[in-house]
Amino acid sequence: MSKRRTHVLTHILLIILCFLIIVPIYWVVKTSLTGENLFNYPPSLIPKDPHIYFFVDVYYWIPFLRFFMNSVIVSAIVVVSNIIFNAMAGFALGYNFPGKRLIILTYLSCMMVPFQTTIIPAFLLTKYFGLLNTHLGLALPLASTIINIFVFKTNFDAVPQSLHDAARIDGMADWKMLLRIYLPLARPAIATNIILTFVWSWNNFIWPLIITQDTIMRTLPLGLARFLSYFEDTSGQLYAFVIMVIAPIVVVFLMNQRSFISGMMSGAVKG
Amino acid sequence: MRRVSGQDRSRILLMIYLFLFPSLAIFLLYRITPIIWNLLLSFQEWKFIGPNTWIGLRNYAEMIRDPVFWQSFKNTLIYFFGGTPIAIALAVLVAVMVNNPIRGRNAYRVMIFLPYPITPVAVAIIWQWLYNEKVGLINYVLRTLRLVSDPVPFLQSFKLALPSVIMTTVWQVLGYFVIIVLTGLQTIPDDLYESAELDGASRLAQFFRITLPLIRSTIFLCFIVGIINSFTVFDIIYVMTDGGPGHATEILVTNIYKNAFTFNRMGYAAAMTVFMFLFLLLVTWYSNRISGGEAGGVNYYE
Amino acid sequence: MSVGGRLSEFGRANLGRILFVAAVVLALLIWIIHVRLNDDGVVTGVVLTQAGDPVQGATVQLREQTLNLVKEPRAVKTDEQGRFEFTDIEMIDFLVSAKLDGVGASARKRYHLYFMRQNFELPEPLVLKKES
Repeated sequence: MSKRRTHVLTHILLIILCFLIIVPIYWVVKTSLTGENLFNYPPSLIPKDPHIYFFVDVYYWIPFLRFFMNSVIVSAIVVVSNIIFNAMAGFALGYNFPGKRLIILTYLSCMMVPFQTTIIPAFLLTKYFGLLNTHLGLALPLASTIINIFVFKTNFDAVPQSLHDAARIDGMADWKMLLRIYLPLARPAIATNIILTFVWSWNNFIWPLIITQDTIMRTLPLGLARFLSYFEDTSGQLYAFVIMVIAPIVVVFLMNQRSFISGMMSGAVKG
Repeated sequence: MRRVSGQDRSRILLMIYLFLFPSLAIFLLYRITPIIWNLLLSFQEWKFIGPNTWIGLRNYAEMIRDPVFWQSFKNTLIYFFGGTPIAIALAVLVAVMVNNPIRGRNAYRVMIFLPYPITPVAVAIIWQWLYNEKVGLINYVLRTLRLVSDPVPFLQSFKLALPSVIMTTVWQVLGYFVIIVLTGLQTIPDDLYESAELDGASRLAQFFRITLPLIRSTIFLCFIVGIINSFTVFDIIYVMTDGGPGHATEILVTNIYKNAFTFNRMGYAAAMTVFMFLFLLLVTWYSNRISGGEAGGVNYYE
Repeated sequence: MSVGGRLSEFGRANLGRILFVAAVVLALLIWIIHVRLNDDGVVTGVVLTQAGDPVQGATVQLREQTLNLVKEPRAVKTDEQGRFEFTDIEMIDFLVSAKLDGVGASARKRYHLYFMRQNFELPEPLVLKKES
């Protein structure tokens, strides 16, 4: 088969695949704008009379802004603490010190412990700390991720020793070097950190499900799941809510595709 | 390794331990302690409110006799052995196609990857509706193409519920696997293909003789990711079917969640968690060994 | 590199994203200002006969369209030009109808607002038809 023919075939197959992948999303967007196909059959394929009233309803029926802010605050805490803690740890791992092997072993073995196996003790812990139903309680288990520590470590290790020595001669303390020299050079590592932790924290469902007790403290995914049970079954508002929940992350993704994709690559094991 | 001169050593050491402290504390609290705590809890009977009594191995005995437990374990395995090979096979095909120097491959990459960052709860709601018996799009297509005569109750049927949920997960996770495989593909030098072409090898032969063997470790990475995924896919199942109908889509995690937070049987749930953890550990360790070391590895000990 | 130099480098690399975020923030601000300027909760309209003449003294009812609770409807009367006005409306989804004994009743029209207390003028007049 000639190169040209394979290219055409590849294009066709890929277009079909992308079509199949995008159809569910298109379907939801269409329904959130028109409310058709909820109860009628056969469904219509092109939107008729689009309107944004479902979105308005969602905004007023539930404390949407509050849920949104909860998600934002928790994600912000998670992302910031991740960058700080992981950079510090990744930097420290660049030195030789007593107990280094043990500590690395600890980190690696923590990678083997998926979050879902820790839910019961984590819940009890959060309860005893008095952090149930709080933003901090929601954020704390996610405040550091091992994979990101190693992302920082590999990035920092690539910085030439000469820079370190030069700064040393200038009298700069080592910890200051992290701030002044290593971090500014670690842009991709920071981006990876932000992306991985933001996605994990924004989409997190099981932890808020376990931890929150008041409606007012819910995060967006939890609010979405509960919407389903409050307002019974499908409705245009439900799908408008779906769009409102996934829009931020889709937008963030589309704006940063390259970093996103390469970042999620490094996070191969969801920590 | 950063060299440290003698005089600053103690100061640097202080900094190092201080820097390591926050993340270590988090992991100690939320990863290591839970393992031990789960173990201890599994030997007790605790209804959360009220005293906890030490009952030794009774939880495990009950677990072994519990049909729901075995069902949830079986479902988890089906989830993995059903979903992951399909996803990986598809991903390899797609990655090979996208790897071609065709125009717009970045756009394809983005579109294929798009489902992955979407909130799983939202994915579950979207697909729940697609699978809807009366007005779902999938039923509409099937009936229009005359593949079925009556509407198919995907999520309500004992037989079809689990495969349906697995398909949803494949939809979401495909892009992720594609990216992993793509990265693996890009490590294969082009001249291998060129010399094979010169030797008259067909593209199919090139695929099976060159591509597949060289991405073995990448595929193993996908398997490991898939295993961990299938043991931890809580969101989608909880929202789509909540383990139903009956326990047809109950997986270990949802079973644990229900026992702990709905039935308040902390001890029993902890026992199942211990089982799940040990099984996962075994599987990860074993597949790591098969693939000959760190699959996709970074040398951590440097 | 100086702070200024670093800032401009950042700006050049992320121009598209900065513009996008700025556009979103701007749109949000404009929307919020629009809402603030128009949220007195005033709903107005006009009642006409089938011939097109204004109806004075007709009773116009406005009731919220909700899922469960059936709330008390609000009622006002039209003036000489057939115009009516509701104030302090805190509903986003409601039904309006008008009637005047002896003249007729209008169909019940449903309207949906874009924000709470939106100042809204009925796009069409309520037409009284003879009860059959």
